[in-house]
Amino acid sequence: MANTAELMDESPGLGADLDGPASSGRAVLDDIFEIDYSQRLQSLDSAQAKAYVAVDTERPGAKLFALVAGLDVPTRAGVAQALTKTEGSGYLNVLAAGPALAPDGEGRRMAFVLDRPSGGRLRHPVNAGAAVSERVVNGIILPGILEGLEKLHGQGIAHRAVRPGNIFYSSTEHDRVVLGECVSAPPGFDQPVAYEPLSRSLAARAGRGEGTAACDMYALGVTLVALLKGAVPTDDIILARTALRYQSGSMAVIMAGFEPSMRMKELLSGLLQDDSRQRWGIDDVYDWLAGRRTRSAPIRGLRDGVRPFEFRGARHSSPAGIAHAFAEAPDAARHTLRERGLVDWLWRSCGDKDLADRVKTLTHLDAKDPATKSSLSDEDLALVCLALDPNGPLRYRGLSIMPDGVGPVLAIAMMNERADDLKVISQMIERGLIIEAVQRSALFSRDDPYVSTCRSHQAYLKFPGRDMGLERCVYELNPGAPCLSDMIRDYSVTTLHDLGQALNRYAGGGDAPSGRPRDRHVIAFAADLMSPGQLQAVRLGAVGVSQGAEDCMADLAFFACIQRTEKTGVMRGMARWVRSRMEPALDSFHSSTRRRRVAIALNHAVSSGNLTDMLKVMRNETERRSDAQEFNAARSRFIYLTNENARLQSLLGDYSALATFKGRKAAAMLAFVVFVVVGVLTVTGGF
Amino acid sequence: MAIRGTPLERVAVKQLLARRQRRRNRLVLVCAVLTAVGVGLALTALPLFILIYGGMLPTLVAFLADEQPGRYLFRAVGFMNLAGIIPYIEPTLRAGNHAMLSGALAQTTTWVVIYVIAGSGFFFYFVMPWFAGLILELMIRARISRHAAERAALGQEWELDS
Repeated sequence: MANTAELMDESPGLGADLDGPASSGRAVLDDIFEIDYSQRLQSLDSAQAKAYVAVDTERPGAKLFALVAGLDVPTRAGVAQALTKTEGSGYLNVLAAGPALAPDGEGRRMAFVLDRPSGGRLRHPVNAGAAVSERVVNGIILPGILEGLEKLHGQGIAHRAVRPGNIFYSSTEHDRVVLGECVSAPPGFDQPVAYEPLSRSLAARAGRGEGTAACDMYALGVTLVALLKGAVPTDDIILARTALRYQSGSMAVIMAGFEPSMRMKELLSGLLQDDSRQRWGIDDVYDWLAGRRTRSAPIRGLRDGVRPFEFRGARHSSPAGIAHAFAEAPDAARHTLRERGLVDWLWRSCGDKDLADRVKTLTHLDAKDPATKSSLSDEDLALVCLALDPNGPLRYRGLSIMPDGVGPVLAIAMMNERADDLKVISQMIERGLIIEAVQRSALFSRDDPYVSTCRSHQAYLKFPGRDMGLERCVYELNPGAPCLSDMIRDYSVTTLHDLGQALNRYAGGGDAPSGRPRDRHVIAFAADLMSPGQLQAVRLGAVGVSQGAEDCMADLAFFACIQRTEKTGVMRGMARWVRSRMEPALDSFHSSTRRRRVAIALNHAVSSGNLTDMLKVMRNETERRSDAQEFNAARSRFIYLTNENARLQSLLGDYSALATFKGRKAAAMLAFVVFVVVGVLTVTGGF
Repeated sequence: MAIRGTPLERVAVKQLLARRQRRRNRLVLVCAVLTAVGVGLALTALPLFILIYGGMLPTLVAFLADEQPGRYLFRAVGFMNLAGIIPYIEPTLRAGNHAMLSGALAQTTTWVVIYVIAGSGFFFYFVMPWFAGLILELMIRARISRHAAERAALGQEWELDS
């Protein structure tokens, strides 16, 4: 049994992280890096994170800075953790990532320590700047960006934040550039619409998806245009010209009014292809830089139809463009889909009979029942849009999400308690729309593990009580995301160890909290992080307990497991909290004497803050077996006594027959005794 | 209960008739034995015959009157009756003559004593049920309260309810 002394020895003192001295204005990350909150570096701020000076205590001379994120947008903690394990060039190295004491000393925030670029930002993040010459682009900017992207793509990571405002000079001479950070916000979240490939630009900001290397290459193309031209169209302009992007290609919209050199135009033609399969990769750009690339695929839109299809007065040439238009005006789309116009157009003008048949099926055009024929649900409409634009976002009830972008959208909806969005996302998952989108998208192979992940999410939502539904999906889709439980949200808990510590702190002082220690978020968060052995230990803790006591015993087993395996040390607050909810489990002992005895032992374990001891007290099999056996015997005896008393009571009401019988018998016996006595006395001469 | 006209009813009727027949036979047998013994006794020891046959009359009454299972009236009266006449028979048998017994038979007190003692058999038979009822009630009440106490303790310890 782990006694209290052992627990205290094992306690790693995480409390310093949770309760650190706010007045000092410093936070420590990974025991090495100090973040100095008194020194802001506004010029290095990211859109979703503030920059501060950071110091490597082992290398005091190193120039570092820290980005501290907020609580309303998820970070790419998983990517950040992966980047801390390697040292690359061409991008700002992430040296440490994790929760650190918040600048105001209240709670913790996700923080990232990065190399500090010496030369400042290439371009102001918001304001447009002066045009840069092709010589500078080819000689300084392009090689630096390519180097960074090559390293990142080599690790299987898409940067998803390539834009002029996120590129830094790595030297004071401004002769080298590096890519800025890509971890403080979801992929593509802070990208202006122009920098996102056509399909992803139409998704919600958080739902643009993890993306691929091709997305970075497209953003590189737009970045080059922005640098050479001085600016690219704003979000409003780009969105207003979406139909044109579909018809003539994104390049026509991005480069409107800009005429680069023929050679540069060749590069931009390769990078700004809307079809990601035709888009140039890093090797192509290196070839181009070396003067070897001379051929580029002709730029064209995603036009498929010979003749345009008219919808709400606009002419559309591609099914993908029609899907976008339908999502913009769902009521008008329903009206249009009641007729055969689109199906005929897909067949005759596009020559795509399969697609035409699919749309016909989805729109119930063949249905004989007029009610079915005229009704087109949101789900049907989403599937029609998906059929028309399989590589585009899933468009459902006003929310557009790329299949690989569900995680951040869900996380933001949870963080900001957007009930409507949560409902829509929940329906997307539960009704299999995400799976449909993944299976139709060319981004995923047929046996992509993401499909099975989506299927398990669908199952979680079918049994939300058992599998924690959407909460479980959040943590599985956002690796490294902090626990969003209201109780500990401020502490940016990302590990089981911190979870135990944070909840222990939450429970500390005053009365134990009234709620359950494991809310849905805590359960879902832990389920995602716990090893099979830990999960088994928790499950066993609640096996065989009486009805009504499952929750409190599962809570006790859960925190005992965390305390034991994560070595969280003494957890008095947690022990008090769990104890305050143990009455159902105590009540499962039938004997009141035994219950009092167990309660005393339990209180003793609580005072030592040892949850494992508490679990042992509550799971004492000998006591439970004795209690059950004695209870059965007592119940039998109780029933016997109840019946016997009822019998005696009825006898009391009518015992005359018995009394008569017994009395007469006694009279005969008495007479016999008298006879014997008289006989003996007579014979012996007693008379 | 046997249904009329069925083989079962016929068996039950047969058994009843057989029982009555046995009882009648036993009565005849008892009467025959008593007559034979009485005749023998009257011829050899008339005072003894008078004492026994006269003194045991209450027993004869009880024998004839008691048809209850166990025949406790007959037993109670019989034993008390015997207890009443033994003190008069024993000296006669010891002395070997009937002189003393003849004198006693002539006294009224002898018959009063014998019949009073025999009557106490009737007394016992009729009073003892009341007395037994009293004791039975006390015993039942004591057992009920003992059970109730044990039941309450079990209920409290194990939280059992009716």
